[in-house]
Amino acid sequence: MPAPLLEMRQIVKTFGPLRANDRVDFEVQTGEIHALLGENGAGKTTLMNILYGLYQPDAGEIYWKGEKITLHSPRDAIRYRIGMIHQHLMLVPNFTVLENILVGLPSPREPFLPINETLARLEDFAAQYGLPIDPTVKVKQLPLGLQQRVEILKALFRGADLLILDEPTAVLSPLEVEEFFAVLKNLVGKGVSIIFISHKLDEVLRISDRITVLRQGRRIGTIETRHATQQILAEMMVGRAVALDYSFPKGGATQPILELKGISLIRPKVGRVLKDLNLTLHSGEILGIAGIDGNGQEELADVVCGLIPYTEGEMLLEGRPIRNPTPQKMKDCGLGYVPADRQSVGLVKNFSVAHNLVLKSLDDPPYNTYGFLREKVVRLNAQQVLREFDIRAADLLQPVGELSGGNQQKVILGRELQLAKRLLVAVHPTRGLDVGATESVHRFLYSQKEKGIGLLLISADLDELLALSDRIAVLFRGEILGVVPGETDSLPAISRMMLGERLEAIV
Amino acid sequence: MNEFLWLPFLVSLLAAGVRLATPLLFAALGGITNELSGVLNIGLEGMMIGGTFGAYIGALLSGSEWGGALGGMLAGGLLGLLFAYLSITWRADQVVLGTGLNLFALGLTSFFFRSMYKAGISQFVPSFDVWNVPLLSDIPLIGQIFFRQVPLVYLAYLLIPLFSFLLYKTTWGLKLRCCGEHPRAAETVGVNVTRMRYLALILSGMLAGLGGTFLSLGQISAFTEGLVSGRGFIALAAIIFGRWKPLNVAFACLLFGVADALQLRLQGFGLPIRYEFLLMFPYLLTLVTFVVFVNRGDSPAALGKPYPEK
Amino acid sequence: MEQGAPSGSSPSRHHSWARWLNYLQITLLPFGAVFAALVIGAILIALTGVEPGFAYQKMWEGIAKSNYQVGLVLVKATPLMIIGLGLGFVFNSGVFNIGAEGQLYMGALLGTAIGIQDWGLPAWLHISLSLLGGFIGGGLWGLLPGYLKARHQINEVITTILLNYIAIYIVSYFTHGPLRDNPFAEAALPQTPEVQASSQLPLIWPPTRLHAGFLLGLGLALLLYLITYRMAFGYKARAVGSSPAAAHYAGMNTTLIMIIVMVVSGGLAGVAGTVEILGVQHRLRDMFSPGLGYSAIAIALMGNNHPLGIILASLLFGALQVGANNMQALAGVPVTIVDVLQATVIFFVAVSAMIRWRAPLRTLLLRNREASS
Repeated sequence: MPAPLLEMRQIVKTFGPLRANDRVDFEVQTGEIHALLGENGAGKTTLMNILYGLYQPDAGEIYWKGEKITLHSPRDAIRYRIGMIHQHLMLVPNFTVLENILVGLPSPREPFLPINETLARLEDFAAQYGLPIDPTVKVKQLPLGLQQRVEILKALFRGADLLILDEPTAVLSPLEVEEFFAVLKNLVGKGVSIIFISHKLDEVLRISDRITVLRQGRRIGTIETRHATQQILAEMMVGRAVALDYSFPKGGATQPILELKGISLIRPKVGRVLKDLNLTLHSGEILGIAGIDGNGQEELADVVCGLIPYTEGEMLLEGRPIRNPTPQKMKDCGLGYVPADRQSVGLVKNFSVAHNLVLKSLDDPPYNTYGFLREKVVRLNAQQVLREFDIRAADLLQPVGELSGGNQQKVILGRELQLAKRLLVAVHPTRGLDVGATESVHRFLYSQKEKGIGLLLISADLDELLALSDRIAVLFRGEILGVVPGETDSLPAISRMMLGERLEAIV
Repeated sequence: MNEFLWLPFLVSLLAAGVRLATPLLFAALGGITNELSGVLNIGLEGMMIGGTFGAYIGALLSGSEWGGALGGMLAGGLLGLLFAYLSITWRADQVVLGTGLNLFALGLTSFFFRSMYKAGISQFVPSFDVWNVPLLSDIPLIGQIFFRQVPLVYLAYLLIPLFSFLLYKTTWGLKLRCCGEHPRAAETVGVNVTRMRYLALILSGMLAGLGGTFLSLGQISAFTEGLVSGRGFIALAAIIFGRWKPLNVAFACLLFGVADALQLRLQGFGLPIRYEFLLMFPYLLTLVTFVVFVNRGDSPAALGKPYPEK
Repeated sequence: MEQGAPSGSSPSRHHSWARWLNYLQITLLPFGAVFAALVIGAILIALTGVEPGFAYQKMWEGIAKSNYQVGLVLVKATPLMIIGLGLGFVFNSGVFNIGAEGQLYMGALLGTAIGIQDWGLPAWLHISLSLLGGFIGGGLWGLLPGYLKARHQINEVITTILLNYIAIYIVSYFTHGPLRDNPFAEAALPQTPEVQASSQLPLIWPPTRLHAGFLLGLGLALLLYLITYRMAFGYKARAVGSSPAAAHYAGMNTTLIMIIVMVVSGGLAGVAGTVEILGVQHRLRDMFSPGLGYSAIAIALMGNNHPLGIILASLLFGALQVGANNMQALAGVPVTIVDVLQATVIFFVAVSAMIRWRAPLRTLLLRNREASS
């Protein structure tokens, strides 16, 4: 084997008490697509940010083309011809494509911008790599697929022997993914080596030559893709046989509790986010909403819970229309809401655990008499909830921002399950939580169904949806493409709908 | 009023408007620079105040008005450096800091001034004289309005295209604007965001200091307290009104300058309007334009946010 | 360990240790800020050729040499305290009102206009009406920027500061015009007539100048403490400040809350202006405030927006003001050094807000190491 293009040895990086990278070894050969696989929080992005000079490692060495190097800033990485496409694209929406490519490029005619030269080279690149683009449009007007193309061009303009791609497909539609993979193959053909970060097994298996798996900051192993299967990779990733090895009993739905009729949402500058949604949720039912992130899931939750007023349509609660829903009104109707962003939406971080538990009930008895908060009752409630939900806090008055993610989520559940007399909406309820916390959140959600409450469960995690839901609706670009039973047999249909096919077309 | 009086009145009004717009324009060009780099500088007022006093001291020590201009720029630049240190290196809240900087400059200049002159009256120092631009000043109307001014006004004319070019047509300007729109993106292409923002704030302080210089050496050739009285804030409003484009901002400054000149002239007319309301007029106009235009333009996306975020 | 507290597991102790450090820092912060300011002040004084030790000695004598001087400190602290309370209240909601100066002027105008009326009212009623007028005047002046901020997201910093200039000219108009005392006298000053005896605040510690406004300030501090930390409204107002998205999600009317806190803040500045007229100056003069509304910003920040902290900070600034007057008279150091000291306090507080010891010391050290590498 020839000397590797890149070798990272025994990389250590800690953030406070967290060990994001723990003695990680990683190497890339010239001309390969090397996938870096792992769950959220496994340390993939940290490792790559070290390689790009954005973080300094606490320990470890980096060898580039056989030489030991130190990277103090992205400037150094660019100099060594290492390029990186970040998960959150590093583009200025208000700049044109051309301006985004030009930023930071040295000019042969300082201080003038090398506009004509760049336009000519752009045409070259477009032909050579199959990456055509209109340089005069503003980036914010481009679809995400083309924005990513701008990022790739940016990296190529700076000269890239190695391209790091951090979760590049997370924002792409299936069609765009296909195009994107073709571009990658083309790049490799031109001598560019690629690191492909992902947590999606199927994509990794399709595109890569070798796969390195990280788990909880440690390197688990590297294997050749042709020897790998989904099963092997999944085991390496999560350290257990299957992602979720439990499922809850289904059925028990009774009468309709919430009906959406032709709900649409148009947002200024964004356009139509939800299109003519028709959904019925029953008491005692868990209705799952599946879809790739950013297809309108969070907006749907916000609309149902009254945070955003919908543009068209009608919402019925137990057959009666709700006019102009507000968060307050929906709460009074017996709705609980576990929002996607627990840190800055679900909680007031510098308020105590006890006060966050009554955040929505500050005006209601028994917590409020004549405008004053009854601190004793607030604490009594907190004591009870802490016990019931097994929330680990130093004491009732600890600021909620100091708790771990799992405990924060349980604080939100503790509050919302009290309020959810008829309905509960939960968005990505276990995202970023460890296995133990995930299981207990699932149990709490299921207990609501048993109480006869209607549950709208929005998640990107198909295992979670299949384990809990009675039915699963798939949202694609703000539209519901079909509703299927919540069982493993539906999986192929769900996957295809997530990619934009209608249920009618599949069956 | 008949036609005979009307034209000379308009010419002198506009000439005075150009003069009164000049200090606003210097400060506003500085403000554009730091805002495009992503720093919100409420302390522009304080930097101007520093400039009025620095210019006075500079002229006093050097015996020349150009030495005064250097002094004004130095004082403003130092305040810019202080602001940069506290807001960038320490990441302190920029609005709070700006408010503090205004108080700081006000107190410090007054403290030094009163220490020097117990009676609170300054001596006269060399100041800028009107210099008629050959040929151009002879053009009817235009010449009278634009080319019979003090040299600092001509400098301001030159700075408008210079800054349009610098901020919007050069590699440096593109990097600067990228820091204000998306500092992390700037960092990933190798731009040193901290250094850019430091530079922008020091430059901004120097320009605001030049604006202050104009107030003490371009108009009255002395120092008194309260020379700036809100012009830094008017400049901030002009930046928003002109949407961060130097030429448009220059027109906004001219508008406010003419408004100021108009109220000064009307005071002498014995109109049935109380002069307090005339004095109030420029501030009222600024307030109204600010309220109407503030949410229309595309302000730099990262304006006012420290970097790195955490 | 306290009875009934959670068991002494190690994470629990770790957290209370961190919080204890946090409290310690909040308590020590004002002292650090003042110390830093005094050091910078000493350098400035030395630059003007005066011996700093001598100047500070004169300052200290000015503060504490007699009951009269102590009374003066409390008198100076009173308007600062009342404005500061309002500012702390509004800052808690994330609205940066720097228009207290204008709100003070508008409140003083309306309060004085009521105070000079000869309605033959009993003192308690006349005073109350004047103070109410002050609250309304300042409150209305805070309503406009509050509404613009809450409904249209228009930056309150610029609007409030421009409104300051406008308010000062409005008062200037009234003191030169409609409310001018004896407009026909040759050398009449631009000021209103004296307020009626029935509306003057009684002196409470003769022979010092201390008036009942000080007690009003303490009462308002208690009231604001109860609202902010004991009432549901206070929790909502603070939620709006620390996490607007969470407040909206929790069903709070964030727009209305922002407008209310802004009106209260403006109203209190107006009350402070009225108290200053009814208790000290007895006439409204053109340009009567030496920047009280700006000083109060430093007070609210230094007091960590907490009523108790604001009381202490205003006493301190009142003392600095009185001491600086003495220092000017006897050591020749200009009184405007107080502005520099206040600005230094603002800088210090703004910076230290970024280095709160929320995490244990170890993480702090780690972070520093990372920053320096």
